[in-house]
Amino acid sequence: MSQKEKPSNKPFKQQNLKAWQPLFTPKVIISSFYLLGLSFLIIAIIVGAVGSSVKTYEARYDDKCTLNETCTVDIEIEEDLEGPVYLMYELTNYYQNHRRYAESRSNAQLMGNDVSWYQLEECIPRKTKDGKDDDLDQVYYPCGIIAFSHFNDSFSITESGTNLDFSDSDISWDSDSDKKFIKNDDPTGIVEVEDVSNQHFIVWMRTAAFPTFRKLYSKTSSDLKKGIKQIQIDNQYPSNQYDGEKRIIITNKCYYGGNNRFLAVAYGIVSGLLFLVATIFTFKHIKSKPKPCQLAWRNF
Amino acid sequence: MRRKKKETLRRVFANNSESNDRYINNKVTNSKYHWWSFLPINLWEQFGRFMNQYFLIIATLQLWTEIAPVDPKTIWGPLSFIFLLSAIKSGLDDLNRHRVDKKANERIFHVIRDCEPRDVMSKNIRVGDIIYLKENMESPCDLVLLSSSNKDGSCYIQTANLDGETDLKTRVALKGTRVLNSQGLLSQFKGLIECKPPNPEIYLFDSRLKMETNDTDEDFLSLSVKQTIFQGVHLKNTKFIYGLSVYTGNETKLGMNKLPPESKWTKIDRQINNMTIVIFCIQFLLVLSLGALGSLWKSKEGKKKFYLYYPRDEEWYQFLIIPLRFLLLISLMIPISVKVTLDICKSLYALFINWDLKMWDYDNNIGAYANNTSISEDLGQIEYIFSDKTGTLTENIMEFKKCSIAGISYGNKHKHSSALKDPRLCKAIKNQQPEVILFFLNLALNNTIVPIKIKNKDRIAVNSSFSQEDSRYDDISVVENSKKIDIAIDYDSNDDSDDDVNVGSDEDEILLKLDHSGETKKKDKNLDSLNEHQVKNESGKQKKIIYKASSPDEEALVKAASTMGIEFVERETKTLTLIFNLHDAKSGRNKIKRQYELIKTLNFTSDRKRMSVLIKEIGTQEIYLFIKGADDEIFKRLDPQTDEALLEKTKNDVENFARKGLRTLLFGYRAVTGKELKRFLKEYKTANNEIEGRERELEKIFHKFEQNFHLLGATAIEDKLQDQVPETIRILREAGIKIWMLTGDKYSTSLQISKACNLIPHNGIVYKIEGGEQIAVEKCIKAIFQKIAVNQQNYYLFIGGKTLEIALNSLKSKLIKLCINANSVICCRTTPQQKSKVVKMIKDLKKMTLAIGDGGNDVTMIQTAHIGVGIVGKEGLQAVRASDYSISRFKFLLRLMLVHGRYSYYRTAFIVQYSFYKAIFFCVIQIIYNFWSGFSGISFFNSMSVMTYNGIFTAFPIFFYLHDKDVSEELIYLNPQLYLDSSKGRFFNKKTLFWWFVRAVYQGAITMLFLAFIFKDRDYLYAMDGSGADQALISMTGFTAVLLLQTFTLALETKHWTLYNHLIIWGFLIFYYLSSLLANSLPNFEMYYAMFRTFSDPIHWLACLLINVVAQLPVIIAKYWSSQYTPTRADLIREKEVYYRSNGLPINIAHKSKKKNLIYSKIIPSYNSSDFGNNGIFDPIRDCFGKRDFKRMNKKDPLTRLIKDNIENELLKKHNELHSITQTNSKNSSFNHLKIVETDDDYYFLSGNSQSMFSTSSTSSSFQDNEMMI
Repeated sequence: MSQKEKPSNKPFKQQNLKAWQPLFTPKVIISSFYLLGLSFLIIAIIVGAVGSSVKTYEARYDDKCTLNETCTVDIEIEEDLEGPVYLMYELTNYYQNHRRYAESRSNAQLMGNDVSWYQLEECIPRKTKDGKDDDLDQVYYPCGIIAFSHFNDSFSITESGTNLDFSDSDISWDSDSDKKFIKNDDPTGIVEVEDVSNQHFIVWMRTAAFPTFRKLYSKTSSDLKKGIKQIQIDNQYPSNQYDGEKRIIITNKCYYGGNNRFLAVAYGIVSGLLFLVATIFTFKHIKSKPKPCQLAWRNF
Repeated sequence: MRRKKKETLRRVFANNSESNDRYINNKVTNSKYHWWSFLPINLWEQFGRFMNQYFLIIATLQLWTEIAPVDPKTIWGPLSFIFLLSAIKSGLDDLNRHRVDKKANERIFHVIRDCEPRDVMSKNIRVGDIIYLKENMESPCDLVLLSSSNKDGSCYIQTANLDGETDLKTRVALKGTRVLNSQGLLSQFKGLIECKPPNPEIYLFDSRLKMETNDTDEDFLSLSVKQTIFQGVHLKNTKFIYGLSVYTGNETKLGMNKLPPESKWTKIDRQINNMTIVIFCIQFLLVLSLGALGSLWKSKEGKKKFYLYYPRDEEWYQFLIIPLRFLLLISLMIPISVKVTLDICKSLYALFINWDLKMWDYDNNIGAYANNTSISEDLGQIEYIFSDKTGTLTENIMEFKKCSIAGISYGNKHKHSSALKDPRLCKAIKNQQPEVILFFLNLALNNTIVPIKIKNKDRIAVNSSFSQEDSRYDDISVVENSKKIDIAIDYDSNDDSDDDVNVGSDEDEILLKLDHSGETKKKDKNLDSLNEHQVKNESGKQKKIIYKASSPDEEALVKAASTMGIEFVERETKTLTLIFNLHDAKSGRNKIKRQYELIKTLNFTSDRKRMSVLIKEIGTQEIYLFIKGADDEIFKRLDPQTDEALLEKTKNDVENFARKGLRTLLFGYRAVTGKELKRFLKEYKTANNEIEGRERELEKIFHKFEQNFHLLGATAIEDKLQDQVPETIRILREAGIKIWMLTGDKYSTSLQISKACNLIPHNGIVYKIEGGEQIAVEKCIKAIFQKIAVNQQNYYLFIGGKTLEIALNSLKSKLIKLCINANSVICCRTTPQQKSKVVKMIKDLKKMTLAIGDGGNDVTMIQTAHIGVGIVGKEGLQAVRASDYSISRFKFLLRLMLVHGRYSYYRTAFIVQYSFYKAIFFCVIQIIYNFWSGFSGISFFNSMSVMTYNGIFTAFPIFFYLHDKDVSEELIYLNPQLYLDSSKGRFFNKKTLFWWFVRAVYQGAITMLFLAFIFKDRDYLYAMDGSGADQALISMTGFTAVLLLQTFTLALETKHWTLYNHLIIWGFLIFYYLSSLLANSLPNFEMYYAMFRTFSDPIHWLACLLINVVAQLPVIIAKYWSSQYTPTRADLIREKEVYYRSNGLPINIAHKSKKKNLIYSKIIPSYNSSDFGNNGIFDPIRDCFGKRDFKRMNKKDPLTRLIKDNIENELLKKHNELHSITQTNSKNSSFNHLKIVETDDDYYFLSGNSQSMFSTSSTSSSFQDNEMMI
């Protein structure tokens, strides 16, 4: 009914804790806009400059090669590439991020665990060979449509007939090959689809977030001299079935990875915007007379 | 067993259990559940709410893996947590109720059933059992009192469980049954009681009793509330009673009143509901359109893509799958946590109110208390306050000040002199002027007070026999509460009218009976010895009697009589004893004891507005009817032959008293002949036996009987204003709140009090709506409208109760128009029902109302208003029990509303809007991402992120927003207009919601688009090992960016950074980084190691920075622009406050004046003389508060316009004065320090140096109390 106990005089309870009250004053806002604009400009320049050292050479091959045959595509490297140099493939119009596709896998199975049928639930529609839900004898290993649609073109890079030293042994995440993709040596009654510990397979299983993506195929730590390189392609993957393009790419990297032009441009534009806004604010502040009763400290 | 048919009349037979079998037993159940029904009922209750149903459907759909975008745990986890929480809460509550019920049901009572005494458990008591109750026991069911240990059949009870009143009340058995006070007699009792079926009326028990069931005579004795002891009532100061049970179990009065109070919805709750519906509709549209897009994509594109392995033949339900996936994906738009968050926050607000030391009453050691913990933000939205007068605005400590007897006014020397010290009155008493003696006799007899003798050692020693008797009264705190309005007239049925012989007999016989009563004789003896004792101790002890009264007015009157020598010393059921402390020439004694028989009390009710007692002096056998009451009631009932001059004189005096703000009462008497008495008692008896319409009949008889009085005189009692009432009212006014006073008091007193407490300025124009019938009232209203049209000024309105009733019934629209435009309305002479009708009238206009009061007559009003505030006062706890908030002084209302109300509203508004904002923001990202995934309904974020985003990382950091303030407390007092921010809903309306929505969509879009452009770009390459961008990496980067963005949003919105804010806001960001690193080091998690990679990737950091800056930039620009160029009042005040603080200036410039009062400067934005435009007119609102505010204020709201006008006038006045000061000052040339210039009593101005002249002003008069303001 009513408060009978005298409340204690704690600042928390009395709501009078000491506090900092920030204000959007011209001094703070305009100067921080200038500062932020300046730092963004610097970032833009650095990102742009560092990124320009990256050279990328690419060639589309799905239109040049016929399916299920080997063919050779030439790529001209215009200047020497400092190692490591990466060989990548690119797919377009490929929805690895489709709701139906991206989740069709069993992480437990991929980790080499002995699985029961409910752990494979998400592999539908590629779970068992005979289509029965709980028939463990007929389970695909690995199950799911990501594994089922594994990209199976293969590439080797040669220069005037000699194979270049590109290796595919270390192209996946270390964490993936160590913990997440472990071959179960004794899978009982299982229909094997793919070698789980295959590096290309592990890379494939890292699904891409957008329908155009690149995946690493092989790499070399040594430099790549300029000149025309031939790439031998075993063209197996039916990309024309889904109107997709296939490309092969040779690239090196800079300090922060690939040449991210968008970042450089975006930082540049935002920096410009910040300067613009700051300038407008400055003019507005100087020009606008303090209104009656506007406070003295507004004129800094 | 149970009644099938609806009961029309209940017939209870004593000692005949068979015939009572159809009534239920006395098992009391307050619990809602049994152990087996707990789960189903509780779940049923929880799913009764729309929000919960929605969440349940969503959660159920989640179980279908084909459509669940994320792990079902993400929704089942929080949902079951919320359900569990509220189930546990109601379970524990119910367990407690079970325990209490069990205890109550298993008490053993001694009863007589079927002529046999037996001991039964409470739950086995049946209707018709005669129950034996000892002192301090609680009644197990509703009883009719048959007899008690006292010979007169009386007993005392405490009804705290029933109505919250802790005073003792008397109950008296009927004359016919009071002799049945032993088991033997009662087991022979074959009575029959006829009463109404169970009903919740606790002040009504119209029923009758027949002593013998078989008696064919239709001779019933009437029963009333006076004979009842209801369930839950405690027996006090009486050894034992016997009672016949009539209602049992949950059919008792207590049981029927147990209905849970209607839960109130705040304005914000309603807004949330509306918002939820709107968002639900948006969701529905999105689901439809995205579902359609998804299906389209599937049939056009998806089927072509072999890697998706669409089967050739599809199940029939396939077309549903994509829309349902989207439904689940964006179901988070309605945040599941918002209700829980709000509940927690609201409980905390309530605690802040309970904890507030500044609302602690140091005199009485009572603090403010929130009975209703869920409506604090409504305190910030009040537009109308309805206040009671007595006890709310005033102290309700009454002091007898003046009187007018037989046309002579006493104590009129000056305003504060008391009549009791008037030598003329003393002389009149000494001379034993008959009118004067009769006047004070009336004062002493005409009341419901019980005098209590204070035991002291002296007296016990002298008179041990008495002390035992005396102890009965020892712990009576307050006896007989006559001012309870809801009481249907409370008759004394214990009188002899029950009995034919007595009604037929003449006065002598009545007296004879009395004189033969042994108890009276004993008393006499005691009294004599007491008298002697008193004589002995004349000089030593003066105060031996204290008066316990529910009405402080009566106490003041009796005390006054006692001071003048007519001391009321004892009340028994029928006998009143006075001691005349006058010099008696005949007997030579100083003290004479006189006894009066109380034949009848015609009680006071607020409808009757009068009270009379029918008294016979024992000894002289003279019968008098003494009356007291409101002036209009008494003047109506005077003898037509009353002397015109006397009448005129008294009327004048009364008018004079009232003008001084005193409460006046008129007194009259008339002698009653035996014949008249006989006739009256007979009529009374017949009327009293009616079951239906008894009150009306009685009122008629009373009206007939209370006529032809001789005027004795009038009294004037002072009721002091409470501390700081005028200041409180002034500030509340400035806060844009209209204050109405609804009082039962009369016009002149109300007018006086309302002037004293600042409700009406001294030169205010007051219109009074008058008229006893519709035409007159209509005419009056019309006339007032005409006057208003001519005057165009602020006006104040007075309405009397009767006129109000007429106007409310037939002229409502005109009345409303008149009232709404008035500055204040005062309704006098109103009944509780009228009070609540007035509140309802305003409430129906969609205005937020608050009613404040202290007495039982305010209960209906308190319950009607949006918020009811009870003042812990002297009139019991009824108002407090009915209220949402209880405070102990009126002045605390200011803090309750302006500080707690405004802050609560400010904080709730933010928390609600933020909750929806962050949910929509998240969903926008999910939706946009689906444009790149073939509208397949995939979640961009992984399950863990989805769960922790709503459940942890954005739920907790807002917690200390509960300490946020836009301006500090002091400044709200100094600028009460700030209250308009909350009362006009400026923190939470369609506009603010729209901008939050835009913000959510913009920021969500920026986040997702930028992520896409940064990582979709073909040139992305992870720097360490050359991997491409994969989903896990991008979504983790995105989630980090999202949380950073939310952290900075919160940081931008927090205006009052305490240590806790820093800890929780930055702490949770650090917590996120640590916990995500931890989660990413466990191989079993989906996102194993992803975080380590993102953190070591410079692109990740650059992306987070870019997204955050771009997302927040427009927000910062808008905030800066509005605070700089279109600032709100709060912005300006806040700016000034920060400036003051950072420069070490005190916010409230206080100065001790000669009167030692603290002066508070009023920090409205400063202005100096050059600021006044060309014509010298300073428009404070346009110039100080910015155009936006000005426009907003001007737009449609007449109230704000009115306030604006007021401020303008006030400031203009001050400006002129200031001008004159500055002129005089400029002659003295330089003044660099602050100066206090005193202009008149009320205003002080503070002028600073010319660079920043902070003009300040305040009323100095009485902010003595530092406590209140700082």
